[in-house]
Amino acid sequence: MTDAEPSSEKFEDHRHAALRRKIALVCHAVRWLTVGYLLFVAWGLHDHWSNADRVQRAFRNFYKVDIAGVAPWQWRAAEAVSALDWLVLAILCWHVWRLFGRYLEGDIFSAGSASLLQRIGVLGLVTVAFDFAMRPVTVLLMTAHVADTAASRHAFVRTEDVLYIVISLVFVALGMIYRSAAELAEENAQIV
Amino acid sequence: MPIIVNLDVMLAKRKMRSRELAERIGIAEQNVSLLKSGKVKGVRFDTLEKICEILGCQPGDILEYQPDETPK
Repeated sequence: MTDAEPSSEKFEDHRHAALRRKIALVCHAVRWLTVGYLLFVAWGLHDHWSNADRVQRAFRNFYKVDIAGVAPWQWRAAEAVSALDWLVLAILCWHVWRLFGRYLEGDIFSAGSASLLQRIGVLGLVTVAFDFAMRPVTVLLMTAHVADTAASRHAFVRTEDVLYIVISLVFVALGMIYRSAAELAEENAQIV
Repeated sequence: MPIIVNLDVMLAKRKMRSRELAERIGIAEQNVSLLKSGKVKGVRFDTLEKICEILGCQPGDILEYQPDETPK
């Protein structure tokens, strides 16, 4: 009697396929909302920096500094800092896109996905820290021509920052938990 | 590992293919092949029960203990 062996030696579990089907819509939603968010932020930054009057008004109202007479290089430098801030956010979003892409492919309980989840948490912390650091830098650049300027006056924490830090730390912890879960799942999958 | 899986022997005796056994047990054929080759960490009691029921045998016909030969 001949009995051909299947070519691959990977353990199969129909529950993985069921889970993949169940989370597919959420995964697609997360991926495309992330892209939408990134584009929305890019549009917001462009809209902000393209309106000189509004920027000047914002500095007057928020920082109590009149930036009239700001040089073109100062505008360009501040825009570049904003673009850099956006780039860090884009790296984070790209990792979210990749993770949920892996989930869609059925790579859910794996060490690779767990590491990616953990990395997203770390990148979240980096994004918050970078954003925090860039705020006074932007203000310093835009007020370089004004005599009364001190970086310490313009470093501030927003309430959302604390929330983002908490969420990022949750991702880091979940990444660690998932890594152990992936090892257990791998072992459990080898019981038929 | 000193536990030997004799599922291929029982399948040959019953003239049954892995695919048919897999379908009747309700697990993937891939997993039956891995079980046959002994590349598994364990067998669930309900899987073993179904195998014994379908092949009309005892767990001892499928699993065998062979101690490792240690030179004295």
